[in-house]
Amino acid sequence: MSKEKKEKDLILKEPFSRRDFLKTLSVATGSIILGTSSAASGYKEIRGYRNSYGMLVDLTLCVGCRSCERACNKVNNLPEPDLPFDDATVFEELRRPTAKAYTVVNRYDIEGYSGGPVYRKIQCNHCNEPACFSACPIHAYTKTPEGAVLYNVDRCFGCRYCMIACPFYIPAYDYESAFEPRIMKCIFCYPRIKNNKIPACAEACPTGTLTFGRREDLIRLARKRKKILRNPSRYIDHIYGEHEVGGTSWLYISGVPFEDVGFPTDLPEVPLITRVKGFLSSACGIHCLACALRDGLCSSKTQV
Amino acid sequence: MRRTIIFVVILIIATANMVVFASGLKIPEITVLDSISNIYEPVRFDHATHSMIAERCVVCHHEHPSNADLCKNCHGLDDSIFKKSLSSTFMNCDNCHGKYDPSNPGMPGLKVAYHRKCFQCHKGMGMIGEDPKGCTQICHARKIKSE
Repeated sequence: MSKEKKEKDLILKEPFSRRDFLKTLSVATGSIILGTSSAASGYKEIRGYRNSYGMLVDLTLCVGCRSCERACNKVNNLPEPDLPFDDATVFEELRRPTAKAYTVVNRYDIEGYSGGPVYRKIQCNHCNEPACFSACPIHAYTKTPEGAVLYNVDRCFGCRYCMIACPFYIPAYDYESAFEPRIMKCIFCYPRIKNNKIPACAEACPTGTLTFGRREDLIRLARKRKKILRNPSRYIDHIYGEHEVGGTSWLYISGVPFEDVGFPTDLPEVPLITRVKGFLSSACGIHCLACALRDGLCSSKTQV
Repeated sequence: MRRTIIFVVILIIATANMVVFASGLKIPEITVLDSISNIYEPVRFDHATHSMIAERCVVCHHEHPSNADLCKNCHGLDDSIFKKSLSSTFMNCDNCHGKYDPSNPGMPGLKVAYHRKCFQCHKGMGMIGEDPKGCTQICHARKIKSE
């Protein structure tokens, strides 16, 4: 081969040939189309475990004694609250769980409701297919077969995607700890469940607002409870958490519409991840496509 | 002779009735509820006053024989407990409502069973249902350094 020919080949040799560009483009397009199916995405679906535990919260029974808050504080060795647990002034504003309180009880005065003020306990709902789990880039979250959604501080690097992903705004960040900042949230008293104890809040509840048991049993109980009372006016015909975001371990029955006591009622009945699964699984393809376009454009520029 | 037998039979029936009647009146006046006295001061429950207000025992003692069948149907009592309940007019609440068992979520534990009965009437009385202090003011004071 002459020296001249060799130089010509080098000039014609593009950094990213048209053939390569088309090849990459077809692969990217194919993966986007295929990527919409979960099988192609390689994403593992979690539809909740059979025989997992749950908690049934009957909002018509709560009297706002805050025993659950006290028990939670003690069991999790959380710091003493600013106001004591029998102080009713905390009800003056709506609270959210924080790094110092995994659960809080809020009061709602509902106009026209004969059952008195309605109290709603807020904590992690331990979704069957948790958005925090899906959002976490490094798998710091675990959904245990018992139902608890746990968080591993040793893996967490503090991106706080879970806080944004949670439809219930539950994970709280411990901003005060300078050396070991971490996500703080209810752990469904997982160590107690493993030791055949019931969660501390349910044990402390004097009114039977909190009933701990197998999730499937609780759903049956919720329906039966409504039936037994033969008083459909007592409960609205909905078990919150049975289907919301694919189902949650914590279930609620109420005498007032759930939106009136601060529950998000615009949630889909499928896990939040399914809304973005198609996009996420095609993200790789889109990335390839973007690279192909970029390289193609760059190479055409060099030619010019 | 025949008259004497009739008289004796009537006497026996009357005596038996009197005994039953007398035992029926013999209800507790003050009952001390102290199952969680490690946390709260024991509750001195004025049974006499409450039974006067409630008028019917079954308002609280839902296991009364007239409701026994319903009880069994709903709570699935096992036979040994059920037989025990029939042998006495009123059984202890903790025969059924003992420690809460998660495998039987339809059966409230003792603490919940008590409170549900109390709240039938007491919810809305005083500060109960309004202020967490309401419970400790009306029924039981919380023990200091109980935990």
